[in-house]
Amino acid sequence: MTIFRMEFHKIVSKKYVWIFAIVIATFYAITLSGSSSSSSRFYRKALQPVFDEVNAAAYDPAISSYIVEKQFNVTVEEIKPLLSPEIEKTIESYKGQTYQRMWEKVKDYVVNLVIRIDERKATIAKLEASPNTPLNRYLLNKYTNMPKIQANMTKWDSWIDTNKSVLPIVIAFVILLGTSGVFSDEYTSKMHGILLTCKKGRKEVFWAKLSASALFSAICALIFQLLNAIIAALYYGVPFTNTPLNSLTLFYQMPTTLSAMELYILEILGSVVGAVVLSFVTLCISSICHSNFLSFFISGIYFAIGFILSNALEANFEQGGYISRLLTLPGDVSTFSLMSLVNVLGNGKVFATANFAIPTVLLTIVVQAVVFVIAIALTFYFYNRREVIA
Amino acid sequence: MKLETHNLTKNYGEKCAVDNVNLEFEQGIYGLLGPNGAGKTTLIKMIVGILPPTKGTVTLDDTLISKLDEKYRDLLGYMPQDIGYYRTFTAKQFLEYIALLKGLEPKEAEKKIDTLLDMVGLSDAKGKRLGQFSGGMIRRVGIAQALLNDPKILVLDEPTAGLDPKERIHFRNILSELSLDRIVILSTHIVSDVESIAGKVILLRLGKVITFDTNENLLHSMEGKVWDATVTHQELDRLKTQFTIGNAFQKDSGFEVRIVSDVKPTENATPAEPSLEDVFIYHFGGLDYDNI
Ligand SMILES: Nc1ncnc2c1ncn2[C@@H]1O[C@H](COP(=O)(O)OP(=O)(O)O)[C@@H](O)[C@H]1O
Ligand SMILES: [Mg+2]
Repeated sequence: MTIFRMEFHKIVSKKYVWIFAIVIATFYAITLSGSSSSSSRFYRKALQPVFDEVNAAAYDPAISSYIVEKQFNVTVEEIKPLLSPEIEKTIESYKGQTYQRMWEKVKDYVVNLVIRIDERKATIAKLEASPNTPLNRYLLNKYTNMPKIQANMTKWDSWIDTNKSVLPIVIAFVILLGTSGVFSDEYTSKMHGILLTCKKGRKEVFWAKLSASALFSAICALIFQLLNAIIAALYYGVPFTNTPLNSLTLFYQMPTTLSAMELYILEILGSVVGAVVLSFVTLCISSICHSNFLSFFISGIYFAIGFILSNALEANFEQGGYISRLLTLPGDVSTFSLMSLVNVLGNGKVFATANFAIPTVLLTIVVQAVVFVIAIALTFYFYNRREVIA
Repeated sequence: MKLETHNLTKNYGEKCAVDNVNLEFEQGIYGLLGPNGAGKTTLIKMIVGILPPTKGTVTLDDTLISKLDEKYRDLLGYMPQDIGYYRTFTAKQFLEYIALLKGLEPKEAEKKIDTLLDMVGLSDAKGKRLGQFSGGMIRRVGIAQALLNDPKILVLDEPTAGLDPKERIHFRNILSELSLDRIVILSTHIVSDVESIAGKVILLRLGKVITFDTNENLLHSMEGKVWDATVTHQELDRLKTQFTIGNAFQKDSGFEVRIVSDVKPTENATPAEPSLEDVFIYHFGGLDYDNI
């Protein structure tokens, strides 16, 4: 037995944490199941084998200039002869309406891709003609170095989007339940008088509580991410290939060079690290609260403020959702944003002044690192200095 | 080993709970005696380092206890007045946990825990959850946990509160059996707790130390001030208005009363052997003092 194990035991032996976790997980699975449509799944899946052909078509100068010429208004009949015979071979086996719908889909994929490639070129041209500001230089660099856009056929949208809001909230909720009492429970049970007079009751207990909470939060985040992946795999299917982020509807105008899989992995990482930061903030609040409930409540407000700022102030500025402004910055650097990352990292958000332009996510990391350190320092101070009052 | 408080003071807002207390502890048992609200708990919390004083310091061998930090806590055994515990832990688990916090080796802890459980008479209940323990049993667990590290400075805040008379005697025996190479500070509002075991007594009143002396000296100082008398009901009423009355027993011949007074209170009063209780009554009066 070690102090660390005891502290971990104190957290996980709370039955209500597990009851809530299971209820929330079930609820989460149900919400997610309602959001997938089986017909779009069918077409995506059926067309998977011609993914390369669709991409090749859009990048074929003859085909793309034809589509641009026709101002993106082409029919299946017009475009069919230009495309690879592989596509016809794949679709051939489907009869009647399905066959027709399938060709419509292929046409849409190709045309949409041509539109995007075209828009990308226009954006770059516009940026080249714009004043040489740090922001424009930053954007130009991003847009010119982006990997080639691909047809949006991979289902990565749905996977990435699960981390946007519901999942971080679910994880945060369980973390708050588990860790809001870590210190306040000692005060409520009046144990801290004994703890603080034991040889190892100060530093060692403090670090044990911190590491136990960190472990608990990381495990929570990982379990829910795993659960999320299982549910997503069941409802959306596993993406059959990696793809650049800008291929996805959600992110295609965003100045990011990441791939979908990179973002997804970073989301999971952010989820775990953010969970740990959130738990440390909760510990800090717990160390000044005499009641578990109060500590839960205040920590909840802390998280909610980040969530609200990050979502409500996501203003529709004309330049797209990738510019961090003073108004959105508090939300962008919040613990919630680290736990979600869809907004800040997926959108490739950038913060620019007259002198520099940097990816907002760097600010998020720096701010959260500061929060992390301050939370630890304050918790240590409050726990050790707390007056043991009858 | 010398534990000292220097001008130790604690204010709660306007209220001064502990007022400029200077004490010196060396080996031996010290009874910290005072009625409820005298400031015993506040003083003790400052001595064990869990309550920052408003003013003043506590030192061990001339070093601030905050500076000694872990070294000081290693010497310390503390039983709070309002003892904390985890309801879901068994007595054994709880003691194992505290032993861990006190840095005992697991083997050593195992032996010590068994001895202590035996000593406080909880061997049979060691597997029971603390949530099911009676108040008296919790106190006994509290005493056991304080003794785990064989502390050189043992501080017990009202350890006998809530114990029944048998448990109280048992507790006194435990204390008197402890080896004497340590400082024991024992706070109580019950005179009989310290009467037979404390070598020195500190009387605390409204946060101030009113006397700090050996048991003998205190008793000695009362010589000639303690009287026994047998009086009628009317006489008793009259005496009550003039003198401090201790116990009064109704007998066939009238009331047999103990009177604490500098002068002979009545004609038939006879000088009596002073007890610590008389000292207490002398300083605090006899009326608002509940003699359990
Ligand atoms: N946290 C507190 N806030 C305000 N007053 C307090 C607090 N703790 C104790 N007191 C007051 O200080 C005085 C001494 O209390 P305490 O040390 O508990 O006395 P004792 O232990 O001798 O009964 C009492 O008058 C009490 O009301
Ligand atoms: Mg008290």
